[in-house]
Amino acid sequence: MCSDPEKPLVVIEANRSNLLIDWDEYLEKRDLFWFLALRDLKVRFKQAALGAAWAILKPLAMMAVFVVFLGHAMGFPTDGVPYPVFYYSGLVFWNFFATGLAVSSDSLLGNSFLVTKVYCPILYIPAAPVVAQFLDLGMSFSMLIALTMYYGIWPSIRIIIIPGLVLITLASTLGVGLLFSPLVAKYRDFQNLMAVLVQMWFFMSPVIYPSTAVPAGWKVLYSLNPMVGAIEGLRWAVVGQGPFPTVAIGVGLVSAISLLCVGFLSFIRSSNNLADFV
Amino acid sequence: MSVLAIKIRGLGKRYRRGESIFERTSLKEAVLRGLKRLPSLSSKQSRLTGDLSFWALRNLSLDVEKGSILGLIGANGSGKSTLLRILARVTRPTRGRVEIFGQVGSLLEVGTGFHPELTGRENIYLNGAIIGMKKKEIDAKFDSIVAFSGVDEFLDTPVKRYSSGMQVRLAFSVAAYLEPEILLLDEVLAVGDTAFQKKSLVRMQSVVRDGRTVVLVSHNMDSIRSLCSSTVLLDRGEIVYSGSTTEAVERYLGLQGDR
Repeated sequence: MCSDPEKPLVVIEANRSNLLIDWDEYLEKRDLFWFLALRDLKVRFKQAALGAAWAILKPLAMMAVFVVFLGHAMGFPTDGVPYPVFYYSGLVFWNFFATGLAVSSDSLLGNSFLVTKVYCPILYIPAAPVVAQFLDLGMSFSMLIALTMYYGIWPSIRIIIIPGLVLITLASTLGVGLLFSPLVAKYRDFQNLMAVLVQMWFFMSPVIYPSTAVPAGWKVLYSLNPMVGAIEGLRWAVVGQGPFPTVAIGVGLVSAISLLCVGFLSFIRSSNNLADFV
Repeated sequence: MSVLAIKIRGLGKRYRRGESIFERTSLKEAVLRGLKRLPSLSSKQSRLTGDLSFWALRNLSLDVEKGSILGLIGANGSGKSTLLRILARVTRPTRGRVEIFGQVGSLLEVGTGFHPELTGRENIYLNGAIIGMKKKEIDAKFDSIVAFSGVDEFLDTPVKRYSSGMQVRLAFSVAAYLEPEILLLDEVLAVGDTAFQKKSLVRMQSVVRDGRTVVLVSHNMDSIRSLCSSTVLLDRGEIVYSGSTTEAVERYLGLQGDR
């Protein structure tokens, strides 16, 4: 393929706007994106003791702990949903978010050569490991369906909202990951701060309790956490009890999109001169 | 009127010494530093910025003809790697403009992009993608790449088990079979043992015979002399000489002698 000798294929100029992304270039190099995502998967599964099985076993193990200690021992409310189903459905999206956040916030630090030594479309770096999480998500969903059927709950037309919930979770994970990855790369102790933040986030999400436990007046504020909409939505879709969580999902959707925009803008701004400071 | 592969006008690059985003610091330090700076903002800070930055490239203009092998030589710190990095779009210029007429592939450091847990085979694909090859291209050239590197038996072993020589040969082999219209190489010919170096030189020569443009940075005057049709000598960010390779090399050695 010959390039037109009159017109340059690429122009590199000083003073171009910081926010400009060359989307054509991103499309052109998409093979690299898939390689990066695949690499993340391969490395994670090679390093884990049980390999791919770990993706299913980890949430199952957590669920077991919750069922025994929170459900049976403490009698925490679950709105009548069988304990395993309740906790596992909370964990499906939560694990995607927490693990996705962990891998994407580490991504810049662990791949500094991709920034400083080669030309790699920079958004690929935090985004690829998040997309790799979809494999785990798929396996968790299968497990969830199996669990619900075991308890005599059958899938219904309600599961149609699940792709929307996946998008909410994806947008939130990407948004926060983009926001945090430059911070993790720059500040040694940020990872400690992040660990605390994620723990707090866990308790602010209805993973181990139903959102009906939250007083009605606080509902909207509570729903600003997009994981609320995602998790409540999933429980509604799978179990079918109670009304459709309109507020949670509505507010959560707006919140997730805002998080993504904020994360995106902040990442682009701080990543512009990354390659220089070496 | 010759066809140009690269057109550079008035290129300048300023680096700020000091805090690197990868030069890690702690949140506590950063906050404290920020607080300390508050009272003496204006005067002190502008002085600080002046001390902390330097120009790696100054007002550089250059035409690179299509089908030529251009050598880029100069002392350490003269700006050659910076120029290459701007052309490879790894970093942005502070001033000026570059026009590139063709697909660019670059190898700025050997072995970058290798992941120790993955096998040689997996790393070939990863590296190929990183330096700009499409999967189909890598598939087509896979056998040649493996043959050139000489690591056939260890293809399915994790790269962390390779010797450093093997790693370097593998990385270079991937780049050697990359066939972009414009190839940027930064000091990567001096890898491996003599036999491998010889193979690399021959391979580079055949790559260029196909009409591709190569920009090569090297400290090895023998490679420059045997490969480059013309050479540019840089000193402290500026072009000191551009033209015949023999002349450029002589001036370079002269400058080196003076130091």
